[in-house]
Amino acid sequence: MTGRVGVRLALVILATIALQFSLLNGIRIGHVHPEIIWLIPAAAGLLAGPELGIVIGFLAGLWLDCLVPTPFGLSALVGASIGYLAGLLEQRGVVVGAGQVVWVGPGLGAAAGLFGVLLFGVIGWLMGDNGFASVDYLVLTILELVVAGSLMMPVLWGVRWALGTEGRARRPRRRQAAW
Amino acid sequence: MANRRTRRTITTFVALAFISLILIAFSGPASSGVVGVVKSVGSAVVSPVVSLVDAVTRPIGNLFAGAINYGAVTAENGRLRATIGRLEQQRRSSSYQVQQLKELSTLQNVPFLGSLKTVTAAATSIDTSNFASTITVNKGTSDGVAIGMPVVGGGGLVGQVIDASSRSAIIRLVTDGATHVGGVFGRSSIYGVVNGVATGRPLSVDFVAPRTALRIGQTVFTNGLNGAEYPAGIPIGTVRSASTPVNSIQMSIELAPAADLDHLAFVDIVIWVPSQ
Repeated sequence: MTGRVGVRLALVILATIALQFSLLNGIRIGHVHPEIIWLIPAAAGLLAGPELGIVIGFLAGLWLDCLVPTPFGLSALVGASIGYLAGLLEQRGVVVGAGQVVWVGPGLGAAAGLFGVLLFGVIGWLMGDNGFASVDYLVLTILELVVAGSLMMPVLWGVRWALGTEGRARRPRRRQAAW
Repeated sequence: MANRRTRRTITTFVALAFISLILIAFSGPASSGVVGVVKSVGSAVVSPVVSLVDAVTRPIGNLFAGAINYGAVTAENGRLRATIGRLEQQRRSSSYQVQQLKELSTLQNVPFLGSLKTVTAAATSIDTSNFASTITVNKGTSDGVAIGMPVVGGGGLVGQVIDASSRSAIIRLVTDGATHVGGVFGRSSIYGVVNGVATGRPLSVDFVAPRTALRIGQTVFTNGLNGAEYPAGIPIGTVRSASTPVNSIQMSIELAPAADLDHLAFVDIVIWVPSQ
């Protein structure tokens, strides 16, 4: 990953976090709001494979950890996990973007958002904080499916722009995949 | 070749997951040491951008919030109209600013704090995470605020300072799942531990013996026992329900928070640190 890619990725993560903390934190239903930071590792994994997905997910999560009162490192762990799983999908030939089935991107975004908040809740609960188990997961699930699904494509475009050739270099191999 | 790449990927994941777990294990809720510095830098970079984006997107957010909470907004509108009518009938001419000043004055003289000093702070953001009930306020260490200080306002205990920088502080609300407060029921000698559950949920009370005589509406105060994290006499909540489940060794009690946590514009941070 070159310095230029790093700077562009930082800008995309910063923009996503800014959108989260300004607009999306204000959309509250039943004391919960949608979370879109998990779209970054999902997009990175789907575009550049598991290794970059893990690293980018870890860094994006760590940045989020600086801003929220939950245990420091928890978002980084969840981000790395999502990047890894999304990268595994990429390795199995799942392609998102132009020319592909239109619902794949939003569908994977919704799944990534939902998986992110559920994994976050489960790990927090396993750490002994019962508050993580008392969140209104039904409303949160609906919010994630709608909002994360809707915003996956813009995040994919942003991450693709940030990765530049590193993301595109893998494209021919994926086209030959069976899926 | 593919095997080596897979191995490298798994190694990367395991290494970063391990680092994450180390960070989780060794970083407490308060920002200190290296983690504190990292958090300050990360927060400082984001804050101006968030403010800018917030200024641009606030009208959109308000539109969404208004549409989503249409019923609540309509109901609140009705209540506000009724209040305005009453106020007009009474020919009160106090302006919004005067009313706000009165609220602040009331906060400055919270009766249950006695002679304890307080710092009045304005809430700048509420619940930045779905998994923690917190607010951020505009007063910090430069105003005398320190980690562990109790926070009151809106009729009772609001929470406790869990993080403080020079110009801001994060307050964990009583409703947060990590909150545990020693309480006493009214003027009785019935003690219990009040626990937060989650934002918007009632508080629960542990360690109250089965079939203890409690009444609905009874106020629970901080008990201030030796080593307590809060001074005595701050209202925590009022009993909403109390029962003894079959074969249980303690009562099942729900409290409604005494403070109006849904409308926290200003709070008082009590300049008081727990005794060791």
